[in-house]
Amino acid sequence: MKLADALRGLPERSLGPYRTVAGLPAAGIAELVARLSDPERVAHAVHTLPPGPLLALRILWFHTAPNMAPWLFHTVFISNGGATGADRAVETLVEQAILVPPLSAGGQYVIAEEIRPTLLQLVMREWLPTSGFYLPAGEVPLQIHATDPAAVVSDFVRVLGVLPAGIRVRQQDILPYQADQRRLSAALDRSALPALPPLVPGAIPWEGYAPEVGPLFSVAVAFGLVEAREGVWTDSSHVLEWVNLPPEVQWSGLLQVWATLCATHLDDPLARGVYDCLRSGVWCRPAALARWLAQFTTSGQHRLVAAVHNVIVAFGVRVGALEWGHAASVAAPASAADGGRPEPVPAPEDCAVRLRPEAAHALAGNMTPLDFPRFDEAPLAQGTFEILTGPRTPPALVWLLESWAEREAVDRFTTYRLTRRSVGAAARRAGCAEDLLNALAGSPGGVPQNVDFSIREWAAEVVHLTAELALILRCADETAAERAARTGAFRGCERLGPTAWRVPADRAGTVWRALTDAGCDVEGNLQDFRDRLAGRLHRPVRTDAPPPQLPWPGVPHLPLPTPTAHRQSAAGHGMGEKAPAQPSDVRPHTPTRTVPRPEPVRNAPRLSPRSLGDTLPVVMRLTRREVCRALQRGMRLGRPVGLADTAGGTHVLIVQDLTADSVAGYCTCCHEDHRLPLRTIAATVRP
Amino acid sequence: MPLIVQSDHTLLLEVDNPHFAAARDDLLAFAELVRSPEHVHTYRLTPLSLWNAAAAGAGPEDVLAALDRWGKFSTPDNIRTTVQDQARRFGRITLVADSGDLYLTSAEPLLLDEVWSHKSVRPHLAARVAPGRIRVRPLARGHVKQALLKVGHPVLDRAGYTPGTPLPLQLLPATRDGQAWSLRAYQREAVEAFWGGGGPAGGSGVIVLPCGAGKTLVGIGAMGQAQAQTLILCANTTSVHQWMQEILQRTNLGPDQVGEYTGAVKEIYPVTVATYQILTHRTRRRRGAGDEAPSGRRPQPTTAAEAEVEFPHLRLFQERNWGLVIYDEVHLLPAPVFRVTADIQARRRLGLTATLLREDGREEDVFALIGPKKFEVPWRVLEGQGWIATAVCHELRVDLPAALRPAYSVLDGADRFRLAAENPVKIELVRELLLRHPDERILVIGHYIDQLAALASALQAPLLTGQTPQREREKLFSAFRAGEISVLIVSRVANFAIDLPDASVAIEVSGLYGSRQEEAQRLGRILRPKTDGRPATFYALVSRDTVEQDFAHKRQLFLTEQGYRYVIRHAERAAEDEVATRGGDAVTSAGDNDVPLWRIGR
Repeated sequence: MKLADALRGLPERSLGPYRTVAGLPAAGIAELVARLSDPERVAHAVHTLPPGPLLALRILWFHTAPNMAPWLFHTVFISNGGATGADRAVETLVEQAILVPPLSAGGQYVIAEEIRPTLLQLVMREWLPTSGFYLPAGEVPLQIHATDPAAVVSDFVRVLGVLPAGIRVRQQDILPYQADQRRLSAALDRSALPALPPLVPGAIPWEGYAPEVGPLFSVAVAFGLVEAREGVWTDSSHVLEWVNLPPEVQWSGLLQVWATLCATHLDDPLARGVYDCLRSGVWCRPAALARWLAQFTTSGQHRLVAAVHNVIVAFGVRVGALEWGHAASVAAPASAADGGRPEPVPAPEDCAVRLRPEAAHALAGNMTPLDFPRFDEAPLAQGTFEILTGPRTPPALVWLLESWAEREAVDRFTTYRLTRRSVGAAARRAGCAEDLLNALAGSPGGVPQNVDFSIREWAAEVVHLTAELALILRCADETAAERAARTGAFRGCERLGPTAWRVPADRAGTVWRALTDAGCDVEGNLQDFRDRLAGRLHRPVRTDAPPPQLPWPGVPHLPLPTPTAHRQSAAGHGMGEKAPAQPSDVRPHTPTRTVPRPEPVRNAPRLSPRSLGDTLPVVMRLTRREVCRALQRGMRLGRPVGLADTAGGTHVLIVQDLTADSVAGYCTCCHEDHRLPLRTIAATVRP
Repeated sequence: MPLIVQSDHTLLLEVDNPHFAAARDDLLAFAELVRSPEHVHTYRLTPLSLWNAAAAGAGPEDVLAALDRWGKFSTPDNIRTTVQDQARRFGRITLVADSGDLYLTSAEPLLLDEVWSHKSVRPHLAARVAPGRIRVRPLARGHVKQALLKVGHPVLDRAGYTPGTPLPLQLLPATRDGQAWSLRAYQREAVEAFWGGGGPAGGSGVIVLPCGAGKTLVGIGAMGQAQAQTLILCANTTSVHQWMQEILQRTNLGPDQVGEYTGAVKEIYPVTVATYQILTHRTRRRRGAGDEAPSGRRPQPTTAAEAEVEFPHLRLFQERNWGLVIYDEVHLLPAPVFRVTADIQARRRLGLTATLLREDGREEDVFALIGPKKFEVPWRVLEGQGWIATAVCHELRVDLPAALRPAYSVLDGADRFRLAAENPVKIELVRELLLRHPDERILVIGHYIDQLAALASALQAPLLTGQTPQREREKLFSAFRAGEISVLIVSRVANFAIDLPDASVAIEVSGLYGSRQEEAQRLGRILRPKTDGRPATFYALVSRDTVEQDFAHKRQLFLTEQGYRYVIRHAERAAEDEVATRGGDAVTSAGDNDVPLWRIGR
């Protein structure tokens, strides 16, 4: 195909800026060129792309929508966003008749028809199969002003004398006049391009998303986090994954997009403009920000303003409008953005942005360093327990400080303060004081002695104790114990001594069954253990299950210890009177009647699939937080947590384990060990 | 450039930058020094600091020019706006005297209309005599300034001063003991900044100098300029005597011209030195209806007349036609004295302090009634010039004996703090520290008399408390200065204005919770430059794992913010730490010393 040939034929100096602008690595270009030659192969090929080029392609195309594909094509492939080499690229394409420049009073031009099917197929069928459209910020007015096919036809005829055969002008074919006039006129050897035509009467304004919302959304699209449909945003399955990522990973991802997309655009005046505009932490209307930035840009850079805008919103980014619709449920829980207002903001006029410290760092870091102090890159620790960080402090270090210190002031230089509370909180989150001290070691003059001393002292005040429920199995003598051990039933259990094992509560049933299956005669019964467990929790339990009694002749019994024996045993193994209470210590609970399984909780929210989709991320995080709190408070561990699942069922879990995506524990409703995926939990309920 | 101007009105100044000193000198004129730790000093632009600058003649253009000159980056717009807005407020209203009356004048009549209608200002105004001119009620000069400051319109006071009864006074070229002396350069500058050529622009204000920098001499220099009868107010009797002694030593005034007005002696001479305590001494009032406020506390007098009824010694202000009133340690100025000061605005007033920081937050009253800050030198500058000693602070942690732990665990509040502060292990540690500094003069400072008495008994050292008669105090101080005793155990009475130039070690065994002022004053006791150039060492003994640690942390913050190096050690491990860090953060500052110490807890 001609486009592919043209791309191959582009001189390196033209590809260079393209590569940097679009962030497409060389491999990605090759892949793209290869696949452009055969649109039919694209569908398959795209899915088999390596991650790097795939990411690049996503970034490349995330701006687009079906009717904007030609514009994007022009911007990225031809004018290179006004970057060096655009004129040469245009020349090449014109020479090869790929590009037909029907310059008119409006200055629009179209892509040669033979390219169009490929391009449109590429866009519509492959990369945006389910997309509708939306408008990124900055281009909306131009789009509206230039979308009258009749005007374009008129221009064709007026400039060229005839409408080229085979060209049928449709709205989506029209390219907005977006490029730098000077560059285009130089490329096309014309003295000057006329001004844009006025808005054609009767033209229908574009009903897109508010410019303030689009940029963040575009970043989300770039990550495949959301998909765009006409007028509606929906979460994709990636959203939940992304929401569950640690904040560092979320941010590093956004940083990657930003760096890839905008690194070359964010030139010094522009970055300084953004920074100057927002550095004071004030709320700012995006439109006002764009106006501010306009003074730093040439006409050909307007797209770049949008790009910077994307960065601000994606990276900075406290957007009131994020609480609008699904964005709230996606971005706010993910900490990607802070809603500026507690209530949904339906009107885009109320949107506002302001810089987050990370964005301040990032933006300031793109400015040419004038005279940065020596603590610009390494944090500066002072004897006053203050830590100063400059704009070029590595993000990882910023994250470390965010978790260990209280942020006092955010500006060109951010001030943190180490306090007993902040250090203690970080230590409780399993932070290691040495990590912090190592990170601060680069401070000019090192870490002051009093600060070093206090950090260690405060961190050492946090004592990690874990309380858990367990079953102690004890044999009468060592010989019997060895025989029992050989059965393999104690896999995953801790051997407390020659004749005793600690069996985690969630493995009690498994171990018990394995022992009885292996012929061991276990004195006592599993149900009794569970009853005692439930009795400790003051929960009614089921008593109708018959206790398993499988004798194994000739093998000594493995009696459950009595409370007294248990204490003696514990003391013998180095556990004092303060040792965690064991199940056998508790007051036995003797149920007198069978208690039916609890009814589904009535106040559990009734969620339609749609509203569930809306609220799930939020609910999920709330649930996680609650469960985490339950785990962190040792005293609450073992108490039941009521969870309503999305199918309407209710589980009252004695939480034993919590991972990034699931919660596990003993369900006192079902009397079974459960591991529930967090995504299936709709709400927490009163047990 | 060394300066980073942040949009939250803080200014970060890099210490290690070659332009640091020049930038600092500029900043001091219009910004408040908040912290001065080792690497980056923090200043803050406040309305008061900008008004201080405006009062000293630095307009918004000067401030912004300085920020632009030293800033690494462009000055944020909001800072520009703040500076222009606040600095221009000062001087929009001027207080002038005309034919014996006081008038508020302004080029903006609407502004005066606003002032006239303001209910907190209106009671002090007599009449609108013309557009842009309001007559002030008699004797309301201070009150109207106070009220206008509170509503955000600091007044430029150009009403002038009464000269007071003349008192010819000369500074002698040598003390009466025969030692040559003269004001140091910064002291001369301070005096000139205060005096302001004798015009209405000078004559009232505050001089900020660190402890040990010679504020007394600045006061004497101001007296030399005023040549008028002078009232000097001090923090305590010891300070009164030191003032008197200095005046008699360095001026041509004789004992018949300098008197003290204290609890013990009440003399009124051309130069009278009094304590805040005697001025605020209350009369015993007859109990009756209205004497008790609903809360059970005595109602506060609201006018100067009422104040004088309740505080009869405040009449001292009116006893003579004082030409100059000097407020030593102005940050301690009690509320009744503020009220009287509002009535003596026609007299020249000089405030002397090491810090403008007041625990009660009444810095604005100091600005309105005493005057704006006229001069300040940071301690680091004076330390660099050798005028005050270098100091290192050590916090030594000691265990609370196991026998006291049960009692500690059931006590609360002040009792708990006291138990920790009076940890008996500290006595042994003090003994070790004394061995550590065999050739130095050491002050052992504490808060609790019982603890100090136990220390005095254990160490066989003299004890000086509030109960010690003044004559005995003077005797002890003289013996300490003369080297006859090397250890002096003192209570809080020694916090202020004790001039013990040769004390180079202070051991604080207990403090007043987290009081920053107290910590600064105690450290100040050892900051006088030593004849042999020895550094000063300050030890704070703290019981480990007790509430005392928390308060010690607050005091630590204050000292580090002032720029002092602060080292924390466990007393029982200090020897090992010292070996490990010898040459670096070694505990001792007295050079190598092989005496086996730090036996506590072993």
